[in-house]
Amino acid sequence: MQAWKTLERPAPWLVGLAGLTGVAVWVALGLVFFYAPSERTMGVVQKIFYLHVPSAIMAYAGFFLCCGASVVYLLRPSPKADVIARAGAEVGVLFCTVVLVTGPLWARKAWGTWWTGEPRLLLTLIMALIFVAYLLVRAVGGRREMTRKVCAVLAILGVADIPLVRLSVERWRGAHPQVISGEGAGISPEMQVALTASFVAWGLLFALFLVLRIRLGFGQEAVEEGYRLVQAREHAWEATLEKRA
Amino acid sequence: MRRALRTWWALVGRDLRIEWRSKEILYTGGLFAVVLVTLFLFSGFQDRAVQAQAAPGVLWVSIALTGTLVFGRTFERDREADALSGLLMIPGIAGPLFAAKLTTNVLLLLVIEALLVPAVFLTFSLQHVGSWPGLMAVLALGTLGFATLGTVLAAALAALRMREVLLPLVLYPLVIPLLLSGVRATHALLHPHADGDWTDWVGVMIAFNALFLVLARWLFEEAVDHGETG
Repeated sequence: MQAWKTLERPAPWLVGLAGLTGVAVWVALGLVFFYAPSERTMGVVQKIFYLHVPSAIMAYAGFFLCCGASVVYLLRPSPKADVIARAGAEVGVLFCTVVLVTGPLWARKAWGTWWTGEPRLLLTLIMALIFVAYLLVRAVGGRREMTRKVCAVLAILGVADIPLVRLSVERWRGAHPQVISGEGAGISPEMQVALTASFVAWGLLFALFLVLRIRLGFGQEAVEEGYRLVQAREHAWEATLEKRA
Repeated sequence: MRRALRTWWALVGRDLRIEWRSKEILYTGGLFAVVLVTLFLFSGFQDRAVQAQAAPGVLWVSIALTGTLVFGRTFERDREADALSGLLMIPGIAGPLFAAKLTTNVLLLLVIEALLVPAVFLTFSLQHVGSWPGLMAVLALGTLGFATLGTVLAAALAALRMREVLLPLVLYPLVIPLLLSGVRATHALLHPHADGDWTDWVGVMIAFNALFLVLARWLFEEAVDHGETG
C-alpha cells in the first residue's frame, strides 16, 4: 500500500528535483550556445560535444548501477533491487542512444566520416547491444522471479565484459590519442564552464529519470501485489461456494 | 570433491551417450557448418589475397553461429524430458552440472570444428599455417570461452519463451572480445610475416576465460535455480 500511495502525489523533493533539473538544463543550453565560443574548425557542430560527453558518462553510470543492483539482487533477492536494476538499464540505454546518435553527427564533421573503428565507439556500441538485449529479455520474460534472476546474471556478465572489450578493441585498433576529451588542453575556460554546467544538468536529468522510473517500478510491483491478493481472495471465495454447494 | 567428480563424470557420460545414440547435434551442427561455409563461397571473396584476409573472420563467425545451435540443444534435451527439474533436486548439483554441460558443449563444438576448419581451409584455399599447435591452442581457448558463456546463458534462458532467438542476441555481444582475439590470432598465424604475434592475443583469450569461468560458475547456480517453476 505504501508504494501505491507514493504514486498518487509526488513528494515535494521530487517536484523540487524536477524544477531544478529544468532550470539546470536551460542554463546549460544557454551557456553552450551563447557563452561558450564556437570551435574554429568544426563551428557550431562542436556544440554536440556538450551533449555527447555527459550522456556517455550517464549511460555508463546507468549500466554500473544496474550491475550493482543485480549483484545485490542475487545475494539478497528483493523486488526493490530488481526495480533499481531495471531502471538503471533503461535510463542507461536511453543515454547510450543519445551518445550513439550524436556521435556520428559529430564525427561526420570532425573526422569526415560517420563511423570509425575507434575503441570507445566500439565499446559503447557493444554495451548498447548488451543492454538492449537485457531489456528484450525482460520484455519477453515478464515480471517473474525467474526473469529477474536471468536479467541479473546478464547485467553482471555485461559489465564484467567492459574491461575485456576495451582491452581487445584497443589492441586491435592501436592505442589512439585522446580524441577531444573534457580534460586538459584544447578547451577554453568558457568551454570548460559550459561543459561543467552540462555535466550538472545531465546528471540531474539522469537522477530525475532514474527516480521516476524507480517510483513507477515500485508502483507496478504494488499493483501486481494487489492483483495477486485479489486473485487469492477470489480463489478462497470460490472454494467456499463450492463447499456450500 | 570425489563425489562431485563422480557426478560430473556420470553427467558427461550420460550426455555423450545420448548424443552418440541420436547424433542429432553432431549431424545438424556439422551440416549447418558446411552449409555456412558454402554460403560464404558466394560472398564474393574472389581474389586470393582477399580470401586469405577474410578466412579467419569466416571461421570464427561460423564457430559462433554453430555454437548457439549446440548450446541451445544440450539444455533443450533435458527440458523436454523434464529431466532438469529432477536433476536439480540433487543437493550440490550446480557445480558438477555446470562442468558437465560445459564439457559436453566444448567436446561437441570441437568435433564440429574438426570438420569446419578443413572446410574453411579448402574453400578459401589456405595452405600455410605458422604453427599448427598454435592454431589448435587458439581454437581450444576460443571454444572454451565461448562455451562457458554459452552454457550459463543457455541455462538461464532455458525456461523463457523465444529462447532460441534470445540466446544469440545476448551471447554474441558478450563474446566479441573473444571472437576478435580469435580472429586476430588466427590471422597472425595464417600470415606470419604480416602483423603482430599470435601469442599477444592468447593473453586476452586467457583473461576472458579466467574471468568468465569464475563468474559463470557462480551465476550458473542462480541461473538454474528457478528450475521449471518460472
